[in-house]
Order: sequence, then C-alpha cells, then structure tokens
Amino acid sequence: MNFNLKSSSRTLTHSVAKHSNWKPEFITQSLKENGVYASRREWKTFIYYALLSLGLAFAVCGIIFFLAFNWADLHKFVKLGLVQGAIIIFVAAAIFSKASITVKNIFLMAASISVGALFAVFGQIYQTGANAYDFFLGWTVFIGIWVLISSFPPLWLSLIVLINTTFLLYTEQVSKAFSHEEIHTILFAFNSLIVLCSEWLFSAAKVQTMPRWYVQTIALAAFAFGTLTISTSIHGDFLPYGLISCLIAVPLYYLAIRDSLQKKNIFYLCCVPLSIIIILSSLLVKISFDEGMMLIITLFVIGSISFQINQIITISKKWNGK
Amino acid sequence: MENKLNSLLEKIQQQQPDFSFDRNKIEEEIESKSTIFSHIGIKLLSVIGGILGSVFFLGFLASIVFDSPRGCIIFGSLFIIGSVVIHKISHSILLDTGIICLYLAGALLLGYGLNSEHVGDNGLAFIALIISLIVLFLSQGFMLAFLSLLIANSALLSFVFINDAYNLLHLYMLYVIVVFSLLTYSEAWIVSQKLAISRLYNPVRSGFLITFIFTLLVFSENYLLRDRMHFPWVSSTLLIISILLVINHILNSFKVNKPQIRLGYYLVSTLILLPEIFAPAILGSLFIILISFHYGHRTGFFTGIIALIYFISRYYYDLKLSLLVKSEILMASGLLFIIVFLALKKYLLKDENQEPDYTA
Repeated sequence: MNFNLKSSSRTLTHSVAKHSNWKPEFITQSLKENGVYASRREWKTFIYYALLSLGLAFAVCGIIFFLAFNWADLHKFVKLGLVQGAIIIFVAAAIFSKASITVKNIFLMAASISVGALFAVFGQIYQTGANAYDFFLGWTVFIGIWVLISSFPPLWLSLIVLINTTFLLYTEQVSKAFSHEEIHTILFAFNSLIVLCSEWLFSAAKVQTMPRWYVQTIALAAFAFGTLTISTSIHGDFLPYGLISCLIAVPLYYLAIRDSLQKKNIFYLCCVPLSIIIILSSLLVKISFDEGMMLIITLFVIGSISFQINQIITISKKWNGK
Repeated sequence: MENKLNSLLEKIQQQQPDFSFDRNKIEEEIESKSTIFSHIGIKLLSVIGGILGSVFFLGFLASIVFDSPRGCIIFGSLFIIGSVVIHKISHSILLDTGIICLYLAGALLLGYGLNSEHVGDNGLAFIALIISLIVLFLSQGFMLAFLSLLIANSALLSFVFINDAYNLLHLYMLYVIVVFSLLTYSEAWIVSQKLAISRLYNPVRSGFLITFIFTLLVFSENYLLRDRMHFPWVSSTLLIISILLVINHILNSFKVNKPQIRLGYYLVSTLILLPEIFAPAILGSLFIILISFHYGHRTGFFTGIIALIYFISRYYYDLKLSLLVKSEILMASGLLFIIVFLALKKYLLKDENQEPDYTA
C-alpha cells in the first residue's frame, strides 16, 4: 500500500478535473486504474492483517476487562491461569506456526500485552495495586527479550512507552524528590538517546528497515520534553535543568537537521525550528509581559514560522531538482 | 509529473472525444499542490503558528479593546474580513500562518464582544455558524475553508449542549456520516464541478474527518454526556448501516454480482459488528478506516487506527455496561474475527492470478 503514490496520483487527477470538462464517470475510472482506490490485492492483504490484529486485540482486551471485573467467586489460580494460558498460546503460535514473520510478530505483540495483564492480576490478588510502578517495571523487563529478538517496530514503541511510564510512576509513587523539570530533563535525555541510536542503526545499515513513524513518534516525544523543560525552566528556579537540556538539545537538533537534509525528509525541518521558536517566545515573555511585548511576540511567531515554511519549500524544491 | 500528465491527457482524449482542457492552469495547480505544499507537516506548522500567534495577539488586544464590547465586535469583524480579503488577494502559502492568526483572533474577539452584549448562547452559536459558512464559501485556499468548516460544525454541535437536547446527537451523527460518506463517494463528481465547488473538496473533506473523530469522542467520553444521552444504539445502527454501504461500494467496484455471495458478506459483517452496538465510537473508527482504505486517503486511514486504539481503551470506562458484559462482548467479537480469519486465510493468501473467478 503506497499512500504517497496514491496521493500524488490523486493530486494529478484533481488538477486535471478542475480545469477541463473531464466526465465524472471517466474520473472514477482513472482513479481506479491509477491505483488511488484500493485494488483487490490490497484489500485481501488488508483484510488478512486486519482480521488477525483486530481478533487478537479484541480477545486480549476482553481478557483484560474480564480480569478487571474482579469476579470474587473466581479462584486466583484460575485468574492467573487464564492469562498464562493465553500467553502460552500466543508464544507457541509465534514460535511454531508456519505463518509469515509479520503474523508471528502480531502474536508476540498479543503475548506482550498479556504479560501486562498478568502483572495487573498479580497486583490485584496480592493487593499491590494495578498501577504500581513495579508492575510496569516487571512488564518492561519481562517483554524485553521478545522485543529485542523480534525487531518489530510496534513492539519496540510499546517498550519505550513502558519505560517512560515506569519512570513517571516511579517519580510519583516512590521517589518524590524529583522536580517536574528534573523528570522532563531525564525523559528528554532518554528519548533523545533512543532517537540518536535508532537513526544511527539505520544509517549504518545495522537494521534493514525502520519505518519513519517509529522514530518520528519517539523524536516528537523527545522534542516535546526538551521544549517543555527549557521553556519552563526559564521562568522558575530550575535554570540548571534548562541548561542541561540545552546541552542535550544543541547536538540533537544539529544532528536532526543534518539527518533531514541527508535523507531528504522534512520531518525534523518542521519540528526543530518550531521547538526553537517556542523556546525563544518563552524567553521573550520572561523579558517582559506588557502589551508591547505581546505584539512583538505575535509578529515574531508569525514571521519566523512563515520564514521556516518558506525555507522548507525552497529546500524541498532543490531536492526535486526544480 | 510532466510525463504522467501527458500520458493521462492522451488517455482521456481517447476515452472522451470532446475533451478540452486548460494546460497552463492544470500545470499551475499541480505546481501549487505538489506533495510538499500539501504536506501535512507544513499544514500543521501553519496551524500551530496561527494558534500560538493568535494567543499572543489576543494578549496584546486585551489591554486595548477588551473593556469595550462594541470595540471587540468591530475589531473582530475587521480581522475576519481582513483575513478573507488577504486570502483572496494572495494565494501564497507563506501568508497562511498570519491569516490563520488574524481569523482566529477575530473570531474569538467577535465572540467575546457578542457575549458581553448578551446575545445568548444560542444566538452566539447561530452567528458563529452563519459567519463561518460565509467565510467558507468566500475563501480561496485550504486553511480558511478548513477552519471555517470546523467552526461551523462545532457551532451546530454546540446547539445540542446549550439546549440540553442530548438525544439530538444521533441526528448530528447522521449529518456527519451522510456528508462524510457523500464527499468520499462523489469525489469524481465534485472535483469535476465548477471551480467554486471543486476547490472546497479537500478542505471540507478533511474538516469532516476531524468533525467525525470529534463526534465519536463526544460519544465515548462519559464526562461530556453524563448519561444524558439515551439510546446509543441509534447511532450505532446508523454506523453499522454506513459500514454495510461501504462494503456494498467495495463489492460493486470489484463486480461481485452473485446475490448469495453478497448476502454472505453483509451477514458476516453484521454479525461481526453487532456486538459493538453499545460502542458507537469503536464502530465509527472502523467505518473511517474502511472508507479511507478503499478510497486511498492516508490521513483518514491512520487517524482511524489511532482513534480505534484510543476508543477501545476508553470503552473500559464506559459506565453503562459492567466490565463483565464488556469483556464478553470484546471476547465474542475477537473470537468472531479470528474464526473469520481462519476461514478466509487460504483464500486471502492466494495469488490473484491463480485464483478462479468467484465473482461472476
């Protein structure tokens, strides 16, 4: 399913249709023939994976909801056994089935989610709470090996979300000495590291395929934490964390822009300057909060973002050799 | 693109002998719509910049006009008119951020002014609806039309909340489903119409996609409705019917004509969808995924998937059903999906070329 091709064919069709007397029935035909509308083959592949993923997702969610209902009459052995049984089935399917690697990975994904359910049931039975940080820690640790061997992007993303969640819960429940700025700085550093490692692994051809959405999602989280820390630390007594974040941000932003230019992908060109614009606006607010400054910031935001868009368009035109 | 355009034009001329076209305008349109201009990243940047700018702009205006409702109304109207006029004069994407900022600041200022003049909530929503519809039809580019549509649809939805007429939500759902479906099905017809209509296609369709997701969000959030809306199955039934209509379109486009086979598809689909009758948000996201996949809309497809994941997690907090019932529903439909998967597995994996024709 190549959505890029579809969208460029659609643009072509719309442009011709708008400035000609092309008849609607032929337009529909052209949209079908040029692969904008899904073909039989595409539908079959889609239904295949959709049925399997939805089936497993609904079944696993069903089990989780069932356990959350906390049926008093149900013996704890049955509850734990139910989830463990599901995990065994999913793992067995992942190892022994003759299906494609993607199908096996989907089974592994279902098994990984069930591990979370297992820890939640454990917490429920032994009164340790269903959202305790150690429950998330256990979940993270025990799916770690599966994630490593599977190299399945959705599974990797789940692991990284889990690590972030575990840390956040840890700072809430166990060690309450962390300030918001400290937490955000640590998460900024962690997610930045993941982004840098992923991009490096991909560039150095250590991994063959890495979908852009995977690394972009983590990058977005990293930029968000970085922007948040730096722009809030300007206003409080947390300047050291702002400075540490700046020290991380400078090389990260530089490498991101360089990567964007090398790979001819505009994602980082959109995010990095936006982050800087937000930080600078925050700095301007710190300097003054009167109406004159508000007008200056308005003009600064609009001017700088328009300039940024202009630059991105110029660069991408160069890429396309125009 | 040049080669593609030439071969397409040649092909149309063969199909349609009276075909006439304006080559310069087509090339201009392609140039301005080339992937990078319509890149979602650029659009998001303009919107974020516009929103951020309008917040600071309102901060600036606060000290000047907020004391006088009349001033707010006058300045607000001027800003809205200004944004439309600038948009009409220049089609440059570079002005988008500024125009969005001016339009949003104008709309908020006008709303604030009218509110201070005690026009009432219904009056305010009505004025917002009218103004946004006028701007929608006057606007030339993507952004103003898109934002105006969102404001218009939000104004319509707000009538439900202002007047505590929560059961009218089903009517709103019907409106969203019908317009969104028609926009998708009649793509060819709409883009071949006069320029005044065809250029609205993309912004209006994108606007309705966002409206659709937002409507589903209203249905899935307990704190918004607090059990004041009854009969969730009404909207669910509408959604199931609309999903069956999508399936009908798909079967038509693949020329599946045998009544027994068609009936089989409808029955199996209904069976799979029925357990979700009390979860309209889940059905809605399935509808968006299916229709966007068939008609090749990337944004809709991925938005639908993210929405589905979110709505399944929200379903957990749905207080109308006990967790036990919900778990049974989910397990039952999960099992159904897997049974259908196992039944169709071999057929789905079979290569198209070697496959006998079942569709005759």
